[in-house]
Amino acid sequence: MTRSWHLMRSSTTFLQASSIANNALTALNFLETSRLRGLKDPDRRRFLERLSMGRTLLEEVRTTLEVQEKGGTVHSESLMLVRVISKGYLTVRIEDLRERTSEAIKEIEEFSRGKETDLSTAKEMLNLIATAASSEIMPVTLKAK
Amino acid sequence: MVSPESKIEDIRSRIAFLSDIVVKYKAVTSGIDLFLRFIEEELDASKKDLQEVEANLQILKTWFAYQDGAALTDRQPKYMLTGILRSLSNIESALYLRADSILPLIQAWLFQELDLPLRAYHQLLTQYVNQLTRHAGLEDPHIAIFAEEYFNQNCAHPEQPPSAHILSMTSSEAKMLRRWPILGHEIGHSIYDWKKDYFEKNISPKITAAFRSIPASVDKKELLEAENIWLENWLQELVADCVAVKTLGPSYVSQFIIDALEANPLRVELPRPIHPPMDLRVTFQLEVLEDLPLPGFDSSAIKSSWETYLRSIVYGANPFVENVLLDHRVVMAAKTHTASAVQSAPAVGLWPRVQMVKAGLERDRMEPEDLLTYVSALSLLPRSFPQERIVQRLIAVET
Repeated sequence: MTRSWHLMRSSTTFLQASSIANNALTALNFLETSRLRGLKDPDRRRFLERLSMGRTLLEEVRTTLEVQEKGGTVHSESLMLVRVISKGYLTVRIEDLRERTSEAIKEIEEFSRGKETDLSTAKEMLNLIATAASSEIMPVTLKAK
Repeated sequence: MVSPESKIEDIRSRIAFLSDIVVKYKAVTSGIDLFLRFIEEELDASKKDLQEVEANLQILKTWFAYQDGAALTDRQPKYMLTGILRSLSNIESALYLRADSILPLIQAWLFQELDLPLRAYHQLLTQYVNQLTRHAGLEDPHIAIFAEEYFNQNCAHPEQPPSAHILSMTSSEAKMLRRWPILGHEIGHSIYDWKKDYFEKNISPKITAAFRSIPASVDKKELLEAENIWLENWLQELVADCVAVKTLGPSYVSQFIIDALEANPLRVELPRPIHPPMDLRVTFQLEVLEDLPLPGFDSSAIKSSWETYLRSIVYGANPFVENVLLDHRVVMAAKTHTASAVQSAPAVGLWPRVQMVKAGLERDRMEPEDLLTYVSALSLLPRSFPQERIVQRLIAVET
């Protein structure tokens, strides 16, 4: 497989992660705004679904980090995501990344249950995946323009 | 200022245009229905994503009286707009990756089906790929075209089987049947995708363990970077090489070496290497080949010419590549466990037939064998061997 097609394939993986993270972050922003300002949200159910998909993505990241700590089998797609997060947080310490991911998942869970909670870690991590993954896709898709 | 509404309109018209092309292609041929269906599914998914973005934009307008293209100063609506714009950018990327990049290949396939100068060779290549995939025990559908470079493009995400694959040879190699075994590597990628979990489970932890055995004095960041390079990219390349050798035997290696001679065999594509260096790949392929029971085959000539070539190369060493990425424990673990994970070796059954056809061709006689065997035999004959008459005969028989 040539280098360019390899990059196309990994871009497809990044694109999926970026879309899930961005949809979850967008949902979080809409739900939070509606809650804080008392605005009627016509798409609350859809936003909660998107947020739940974002939580699942973060759970996959956490599982990958746990497996990596134990030296088990790590899927290459999940590894790509871990690389992106590691780059964003400027750390290669797996335990740090795992703790942050757990914190983000906890924030989303509490928010989904209607609790007032600080969402900074969840937003930061979803934003990191959404933007960093986008920047991984960019070099490939820009070739067409 | 960015106007999300005009962006939405642009994307909508792109999806409509691409959908129209797919409908037209479907009317012309039924041979690539599965590939066109995958593109249709991707376009439908993009349509749904676009509807979702529109719904989000509508809420933003209702809540904050947002006017298209206006600047936002308030933090919350600004974040919402950022999410909307990023979603639009993701839809555009999806269109590029899943439709724009594939449709021209479908177009090339259609053209080659109809275009007389290439048609016979295209049909021959299609027949060859069909025989090769069957020989390798692969069920996923493949189509083959003559295009700008070698690749193996998937039309569906590997996690949703069956995947459909597009393979290509360069147009200038249409008549050079001896080059075709090089596609064995691309078939190796299809097999890797098909059995990804199996290969990852059997090889990845061994590579990880080898990295952990490297002395602690090595920088942790470099170790993680090297491990990622192996697990994300190099592992599948080694598996694809190993499948190719075990499927086609010496025919594949003899053609791969021609490509290897054209590149610096010690070069690593830094900073994000997709392929292991050619030297590692050639050495590995020769080791796998030597382990196959192929009566009458002697790899020493290929080996010694490769070593002679290597001695003529001067290449500046890179400490990261030398000491971490190509650490001998890691390389050894990857080679050993890849070779044992790829169990099927149909090259062993093919080899006696290849030898028989090759001997026949050398005596100007054509044995009743299939295209796969003929192509394998041609790849082992000297470049000076006149193959045109054989090719014409194969076209007459196979197409």
